[in-house]
Amino acid sequence: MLGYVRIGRPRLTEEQFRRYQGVYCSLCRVLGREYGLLARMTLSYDFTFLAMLRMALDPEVPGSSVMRCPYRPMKTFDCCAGSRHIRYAAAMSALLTRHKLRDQLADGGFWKRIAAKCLLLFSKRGYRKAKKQYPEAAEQIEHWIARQSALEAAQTASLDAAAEPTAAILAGMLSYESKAEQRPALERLGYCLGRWIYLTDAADDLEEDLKQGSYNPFILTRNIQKNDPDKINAVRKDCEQSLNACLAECETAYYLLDRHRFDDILKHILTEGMPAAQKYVLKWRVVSGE
Amino acid sequence: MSDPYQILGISPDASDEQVKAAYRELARKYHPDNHTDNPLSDLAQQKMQEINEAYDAIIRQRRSGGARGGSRFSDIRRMISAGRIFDAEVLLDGMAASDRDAEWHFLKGSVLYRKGWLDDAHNEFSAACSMDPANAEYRAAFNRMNTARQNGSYYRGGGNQMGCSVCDICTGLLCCECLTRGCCRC
Repeated sequence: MLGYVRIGRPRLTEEQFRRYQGVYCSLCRVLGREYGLLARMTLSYDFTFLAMLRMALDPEVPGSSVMRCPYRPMKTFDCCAGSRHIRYAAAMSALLTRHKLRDQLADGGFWKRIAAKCLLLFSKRGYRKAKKQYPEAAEQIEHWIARQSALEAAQTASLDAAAEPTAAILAGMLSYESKAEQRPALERLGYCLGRWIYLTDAADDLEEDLKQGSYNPFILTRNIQKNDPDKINAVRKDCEQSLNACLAECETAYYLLDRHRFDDILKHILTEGMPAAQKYVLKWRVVSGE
Repeated sequence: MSDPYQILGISPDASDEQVKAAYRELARKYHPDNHTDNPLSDLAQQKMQEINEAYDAIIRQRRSGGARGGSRFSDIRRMISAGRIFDAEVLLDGMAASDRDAEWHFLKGSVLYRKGWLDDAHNEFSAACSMDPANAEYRAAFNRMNTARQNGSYYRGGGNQMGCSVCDICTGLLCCECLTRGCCRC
């Protein structure tokens, strides 16, 4: 999970931003408390969204208290670190981080590999702890990550097939312990959100993967050679349309949920933050004149 | 009423176009105008009513997305509407390439869409529309998908991030220009 599911900050009011920050900072706190200092570095917008969405669907009002950030003591935030949804998001973050580091170890550059190796050693304990708490989720994630590796090894050219593991992981993550009547909408939202994250990441890595000859489904679907501006422009259009289709599905599924709080912020993320992140990612520099 | 397909003299597998053509042919034959001052005019009128009812019944059945009586896809349509996506997909994939007509592509697209395989679904809807451009059901699914792909939303129109609104302005200006030119010539 890579931080694409974010807010577009200037469009949030002060009050909304403070509520968002409350969840973000609480997640950071829980990561530090339960998974060690280094785990704080893995804090991401994506898991903030996960925590926020789960809190939004819970009729129970989360308790909060004003806290200070140990790293920026001048700043206070409304801490809701006691919420079980934040602990859940932190555990999921610990589970996925380890897989992400392994991925980096396999195909990152020299320095990235060294950093990944070090962090992997430290992330082991956190992974075990999270796995103990959520054994089923951990098993599902392992299953889909293995499937992802197999798809990459087979050089799958289908965007849908390549995006499926991430999509399925998110579908399981969002719908975990949900009410039966909400489950289909949450699974759909999770699936399309995961799909969007995977494809956005693939679009983001396109230039790098082209240079290094690494696996990327967009390169394979259009059979791009290095620096072929026509094909890259064509693939940009493909990307944009595929990502848009995911966004539209996410929004539709989201409106079917019973939201008790954070509706304005979550809606803002889905309809403004994510499109902005997508637009930013699609500004590839390979093509001149953009 | 007996089988509407039988009344029109066509097979239940007939395309919408074929249904329409069969109806027109029969309507021409039995139209009351052709039988004025004729001892058979009553019979013709009765026949005409029968044909109208049969045609309406078929159209109603097809528009409601319901299974066509005896269509080879009726089982698959039922599975899809009952949410049995994987069963439907197995059945569809089991069909020979020569059997894959526009409806096959439309149903395959529907299955993929429900699975969340949005790109392949788009391709299948596109194939269905190009094989049977007159079909309203396929066209509606394809258009809906295209709206999402252009706008990133089913609710908000006119591209929030793509600059489509710019295109809309261009078309607007073009229309304006045409209109004013038309006025000048008058």
